[in-house]
Amino acid sequence: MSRSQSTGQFETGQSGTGQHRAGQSGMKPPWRHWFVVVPVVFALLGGAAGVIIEVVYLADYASHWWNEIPVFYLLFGLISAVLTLAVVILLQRVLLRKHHGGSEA
Amino acid sequence: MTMDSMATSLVSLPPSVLLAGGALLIPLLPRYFRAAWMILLSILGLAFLWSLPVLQASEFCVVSATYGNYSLMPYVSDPLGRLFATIFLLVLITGSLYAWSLDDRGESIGTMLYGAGAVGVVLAGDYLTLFVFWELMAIASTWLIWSRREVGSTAVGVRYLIYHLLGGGFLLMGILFQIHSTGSIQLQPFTEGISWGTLGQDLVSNPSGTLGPLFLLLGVAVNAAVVPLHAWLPDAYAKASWTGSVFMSALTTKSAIYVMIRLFPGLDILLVAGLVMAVFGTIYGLLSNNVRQILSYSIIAQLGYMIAAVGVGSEMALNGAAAHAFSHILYKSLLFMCAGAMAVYAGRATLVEWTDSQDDSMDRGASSHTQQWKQPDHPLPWGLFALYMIGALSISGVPLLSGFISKPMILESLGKAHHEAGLLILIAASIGTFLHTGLKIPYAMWIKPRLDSASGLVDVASQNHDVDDQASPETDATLTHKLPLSQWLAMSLGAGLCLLFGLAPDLLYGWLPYPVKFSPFEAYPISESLMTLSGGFFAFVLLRKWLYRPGRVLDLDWIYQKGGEPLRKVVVDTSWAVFGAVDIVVQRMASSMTQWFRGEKGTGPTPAQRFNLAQPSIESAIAWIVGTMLVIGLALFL
Amino acid sequence: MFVVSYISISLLIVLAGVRFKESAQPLATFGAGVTAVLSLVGWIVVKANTEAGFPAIRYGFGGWAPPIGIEFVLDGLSAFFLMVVNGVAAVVLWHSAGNLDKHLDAHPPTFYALASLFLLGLNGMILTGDLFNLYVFLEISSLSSYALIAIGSRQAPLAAFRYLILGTVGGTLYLIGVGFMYAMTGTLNMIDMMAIIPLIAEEPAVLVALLLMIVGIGVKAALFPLYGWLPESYTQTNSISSALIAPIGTKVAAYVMIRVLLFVFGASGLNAVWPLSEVIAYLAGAGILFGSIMAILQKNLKRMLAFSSVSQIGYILMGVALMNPLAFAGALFHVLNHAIMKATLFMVSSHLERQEESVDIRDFNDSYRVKYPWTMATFTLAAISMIGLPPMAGFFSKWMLALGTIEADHWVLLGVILTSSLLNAVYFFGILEKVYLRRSGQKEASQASMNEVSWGMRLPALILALALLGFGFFNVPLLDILQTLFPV
Repeated sequence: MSRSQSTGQFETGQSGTGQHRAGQSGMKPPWRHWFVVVPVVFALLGGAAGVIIEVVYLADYASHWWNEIPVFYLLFGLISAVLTLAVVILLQRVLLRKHHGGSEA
Repeated sequence: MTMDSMATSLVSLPPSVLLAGGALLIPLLPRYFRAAWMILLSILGLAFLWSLPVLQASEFCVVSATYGNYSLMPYVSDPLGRLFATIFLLVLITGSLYAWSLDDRGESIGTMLYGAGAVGVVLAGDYLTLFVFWELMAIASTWLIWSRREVGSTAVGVRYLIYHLLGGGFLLMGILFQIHSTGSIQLQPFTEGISWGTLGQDLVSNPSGTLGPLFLLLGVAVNAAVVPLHAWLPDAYAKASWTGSVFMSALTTKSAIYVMIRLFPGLDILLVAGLVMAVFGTIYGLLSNNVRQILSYSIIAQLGYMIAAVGVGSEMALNGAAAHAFSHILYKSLLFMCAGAMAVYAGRATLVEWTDSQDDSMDRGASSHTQQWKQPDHPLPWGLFALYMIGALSISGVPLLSGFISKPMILESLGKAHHEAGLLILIAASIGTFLHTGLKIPYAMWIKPRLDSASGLVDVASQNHDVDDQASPETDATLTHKLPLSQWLAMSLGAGLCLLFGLAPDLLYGWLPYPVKFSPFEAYPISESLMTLSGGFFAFVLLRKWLYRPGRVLDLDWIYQKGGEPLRKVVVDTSWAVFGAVDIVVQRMASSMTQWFRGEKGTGPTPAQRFNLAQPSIESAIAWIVGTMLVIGLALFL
Repeated sequence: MFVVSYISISLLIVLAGVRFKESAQPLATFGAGVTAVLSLVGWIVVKANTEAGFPAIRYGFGGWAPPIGIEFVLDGLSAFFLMVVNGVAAVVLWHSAGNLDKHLDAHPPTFYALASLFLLGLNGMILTGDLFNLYVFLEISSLSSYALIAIGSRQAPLAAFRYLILGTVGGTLYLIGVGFMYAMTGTLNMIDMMAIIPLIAEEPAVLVALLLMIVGIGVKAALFPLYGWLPESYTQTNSISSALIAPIGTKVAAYVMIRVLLFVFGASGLNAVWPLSEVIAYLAGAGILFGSIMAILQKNLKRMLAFSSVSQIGYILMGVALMNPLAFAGALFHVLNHAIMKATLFMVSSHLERQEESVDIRDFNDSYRVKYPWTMATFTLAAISMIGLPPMAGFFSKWMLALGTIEADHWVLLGVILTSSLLNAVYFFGILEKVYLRRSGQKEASQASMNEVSWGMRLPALILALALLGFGFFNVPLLDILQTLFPV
């Protein structure tokens, strides 16, 4: 995932020299991008917890036909989100118009 | 206890009257006292309200009055009304704290009157009172839009006002039809619903009885932002004043929900409408690029949940709708408060901006490679992030926060009523909500700028290497934007309430109109929530690059924004043409007759006699008189 | 009886004013005030009489008993209109004291003599029980109003001339109609005619007469599309005349409509051959919409108010034409409300004209809020009532009218009422927003200091505006009484 460099000034005092690629969370010392790592960890833990709960409390899980499928909700979450995002990204070209000044902020 | 003795005691003073009366004193108070006054009166209103007894089964009329032949019940204390009034007063308190340093008397007065109207609506027992407070809300909230005083604010406010007066007009028509057909002005639920199949026959046999509920529904639907009557909401809420939008997000729409729960429980069409709203709001929320606009579409989506629940109509569903309204106000007001704070730091309200000023040079085919993420003016503090995420995770339905206590209730009620497709749609919409409020906004505002700055895309303005020591703004000389303490307090209070009700839902459940047979802390809701959100999270991680794009969202208001001018032309130009044609003919006749009498030759009416619709010439006016007579006379003899 | 004293007082003013210049205005106000008080007394007496079962008070002139002689009739309807007309006129004349220097230079006596004659004519029209006598008083009030309107801007005489031509046409049509009726019935007395009409209602001559009378009065009442004289007249004339004539002139024409259509002819006579009441109702509806739309387009405050008047008289005439007690009460209440509202609004415009030298809406800005706090507050109250928002009186008259349309199953007209409220909101709120909100880019409110007109001008306007609030709160007893005035 590359980004072309903007008009920003390149501070030589920045830690590291010239080899940055934006968005790579693992390459830098961990504390620099903790704000990316932490949410990812939370999401993983949350998902895992959910799966564990489902497995443990299987008895409660007969409410709907889809509950037969294991980890249904995880898949449903992933797939429906992907679909939704795909629809939105496609619609963006149609429904987003250029700014006219003064209507925002 | 008889009604007479209640009516004479002070605590039976309706909170709406308290607030409206208090609004009169605002001009006299110095700046910081105004917010304190609002808070004080809201607390007092709460105290009065809660000191009154409330009956479970029926309504308890605190104040009664008569108007002509109709007996009014302006102030009714029942569980549903009290619940809504409570949350309204609570949001008035937190919002006023947020607006502590507001120096705009007009806006303060408008806010109090707006609150008075909303509380009045939910505590009303008859249609006249309801209507009076409904209109009060419309006008007061328009003022909050105009208080923004931007270049475009006038137009936004006028659109909003017209929309809401139109909705109020529909409501009034419905009320009048109702009075005419039932003879009673008191609020009665339409328990039989509306039979769409026999609508045509019913219209003929019982016009006012049929049209009454229809127009009432229409009027309420405008305020509840039912698609396709929703376009006013993103338009207005994104452009109102920063302090005003906090209140607006709570009051107008939720009072409409209250009326829906009251009047139309179980109306089948509401289920469909709610589902449409949930999907629509979610998609548009993901499309939008302006923080408050995203939140506004999110409101539409959440309203969809509530309306769908009203459509299901079971006790659990109605409980769910009311509970969801309550918790929604808690987290939405927090989110709007944070939006204001975010704008202070970021210097803008949009997520993504082109960094070069030539928007037009961007052609459609360009991918995100050329898109530049413009840094916010000042890095947003992590404290604000925490507060924001409490609101965002609440709306997403994360356990232990306030959204989780109400959304599963609605979902389960849909499940129990065997609306499985609807249930899946709502779950998908819920994930979408998490995507736009819980992921898209914070990523753009907190995560991405810091990623960019860390990897070398640094603006000259923010020379910060490590964004972590922005925790204390005072230490950085370049950071001149900071929030007043009152706003931090207000947001913390809001977040605290979200946590409170999230951890102890029985507090809220005790206030719900029907007995609650639901507990969110069961295996099923918890795991469902965790799993779906987790799935959504990773979907976002995958696709985030393509999600952001600046621009204005195209919504249905395009129709009347673009269509207003042509319509005006059609109406005015046609009238002009008609009157003009007559005028020219008559003028010619008159001048040629004059010339004939004088024995001259002539050329017709002079330029000086040209037509003016606002003031037709004498000749044409006479022609109209004679013409009218002839037409009527001809019709008579034919 | 006191019925006669109404007239004589007005006449006295005319005479006395000619001699003493400065006394003209106070005398005129005094006269109108006394008349107003007397009309209030009359109202109370009539109410007592109706409860006791006595008929209306009748007074034959010169001792000649009707139907040969001319008589004055004081019943509930006349008493109500008398109160409205004289009450508003008294307040307006009181208000005019502050404006004298600007407009009238050397001739206050003439002006007030004309104003008194105008009121004389109006009172006579309301009181009379004879159709031809009505024409006489109509001409008296019309002629004096032509003269009153001619005093004003440079185009005022032309506007007055236009009004003169059109008004005379209208009056003449009415007269011809009366002539036909006389030929058919042999009487000019209203009460007599009421008895005879059911027998001959289907005669073509009667129909033609009815038609002529409707169109004739319609001109004076500015029924759509016969409104042509109104906009220029109200705009170009001086502010005292507009405040005097606009609120009450068309109302009295509406009164005549009511008398002729509902009382003399009655519902059965009116609709004997063709549903004329429907036609009038729909014409009135068209006028409501047309007036509102045109008002939005105006840049001149006075012309905006003029078109607004066209719209409001539409409400009244529509209520009358709907032929049921609810709509009738609504129409009468609206007569009261609109008279007060329009008088207030024209007074406000006179304040602005006086202080700013212009009434162009485009020039309104938020310095007005500072310069004219009382005037703008009065304007706001009146505007809220015009739009029809509770708790102002305007809401309740529209409510009754709306109930009346439902009662008569005229859904279209119901929609018209509500649409026009919306339209009214547009142009009134436009002004309020200009005045009360700072423009963007302005940090401070405009630097201006209070430059209000004198209390002698502020107070009457404010009193009228507050009266709207009062009538709003206490509308129920009044509406009940008004419903009883509907002829069965």
